[in-house]
Amino acid sequence: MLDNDDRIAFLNSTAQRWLGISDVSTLPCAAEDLPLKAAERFAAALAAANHREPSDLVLNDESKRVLQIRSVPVVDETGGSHGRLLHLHDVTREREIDEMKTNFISLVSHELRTPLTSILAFSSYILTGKWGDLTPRQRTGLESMHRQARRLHAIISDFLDVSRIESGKIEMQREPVAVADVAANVIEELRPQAAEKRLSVTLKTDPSLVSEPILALADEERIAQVMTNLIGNAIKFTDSGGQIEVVISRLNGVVQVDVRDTGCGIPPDELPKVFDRFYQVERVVTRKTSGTGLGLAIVKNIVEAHGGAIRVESKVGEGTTFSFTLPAMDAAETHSQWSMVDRGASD
Amino acid sequence: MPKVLVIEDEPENQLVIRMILETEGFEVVPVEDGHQGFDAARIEQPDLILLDVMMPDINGFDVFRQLRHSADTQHIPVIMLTALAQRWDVERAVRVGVDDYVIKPFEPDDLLASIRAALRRCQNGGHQP
Repeated sequence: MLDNDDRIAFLNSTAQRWLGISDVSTLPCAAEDLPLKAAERFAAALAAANHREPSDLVLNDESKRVLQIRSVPVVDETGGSHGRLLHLHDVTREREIDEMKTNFISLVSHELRTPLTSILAFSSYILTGKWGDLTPRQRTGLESMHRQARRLHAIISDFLDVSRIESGKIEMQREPVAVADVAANVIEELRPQAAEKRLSVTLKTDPSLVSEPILALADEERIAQVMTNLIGNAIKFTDSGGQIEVVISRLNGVVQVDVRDTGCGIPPDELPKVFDRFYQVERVVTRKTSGTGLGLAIVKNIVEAHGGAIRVESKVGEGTTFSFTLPAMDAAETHSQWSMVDRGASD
Repeated sequence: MPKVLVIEDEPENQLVIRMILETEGFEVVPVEDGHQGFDAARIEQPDLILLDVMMPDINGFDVFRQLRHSADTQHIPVIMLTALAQRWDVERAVRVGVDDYVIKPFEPDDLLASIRAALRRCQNGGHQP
């Protein structure tokens, strides 16, 4: 329990044992003043924890214990505050399993990519005809094999990405990014897929901002990945002749990107789940669409790692809009300033 | 006929690289680990080295360091092959001064374009040991 001055007023016997505190005669006291090696980190974890967002405390003692800390305000019926109730949960085993899972996925991904190198390179080169002419059936078969191997490669990359992003192993390299330029490049890359389905893809920017580029402080490569996923999904789930619109605007210190389609839409009860890993809207996904169900989980992770947010609005039969935000950068601030600051901090 | 030393521990990848390069008119010297690769570079004096990063005994970055520190091999352009596809590996490859890198799985056209460009730069005196 923390009192109203954020001092630790009481620790039960389990908390004492986990934290390695045998003498509680100093209570109440500030977390920093506890007879504990990790006292300062404990205090920082307490400051960061609330009932929605727990924080982890790693004890660098012999136990190597990891404690997840949540705190809930204690309020009486008249609204009077009585401090905070701390909930400590030993998540050591869960964190170990997370680490093992991440390492396992990395290993498996690498082991799968190695044979794919030979499959993709051989199939691609045989298709050039330099090792002899192919019959139409051989060509069709080989083209299919090559496409499927590429698909497998994309799936493996998604797996690796999601595991690395979730474990915090991917660092975002932020610098000023002209968001409209990134969107334009992504649209150009995806235009052949859109053309196959006779879809129009348009890019619109806020007309009041045409004189200056809309800059976000972001990792350009990762933002391109987010847009590729969202626009690619829009193409995948919109029927022939439909429209896709990418709108970029700036408001209240953030850059907002909307990707709107006139596709099949997502049922309201499915909307909260679309960012879950391995999720695909079963009722609307037909045999003609495919994917790992990881794309939107990756998108959400990347956007949130930038301090942005993502939401989705949809009506079945009318279409879907995915909107995400990124921290905006004032165009007056120079590119070089930020690059120097960013590089300096990471070196 | 330009001579390319291929240092790659995976036999199947070695095979596909060798077959494609030979078809495209290169002489290929294949070796399967970093130590053999360094020795072969000194003896064979290839025009270019394709160097895999992840190898069991000595990794590609260590082999590259040896190649650059030896007077016999420091002039030979090196293209790194990496399956890692992670930015820090690519950045590291660029930082240590490799002539180019190719991410596995690769398209044969991309590998060939990278090799030809590195050889051209070298002929024009672009490779600085």
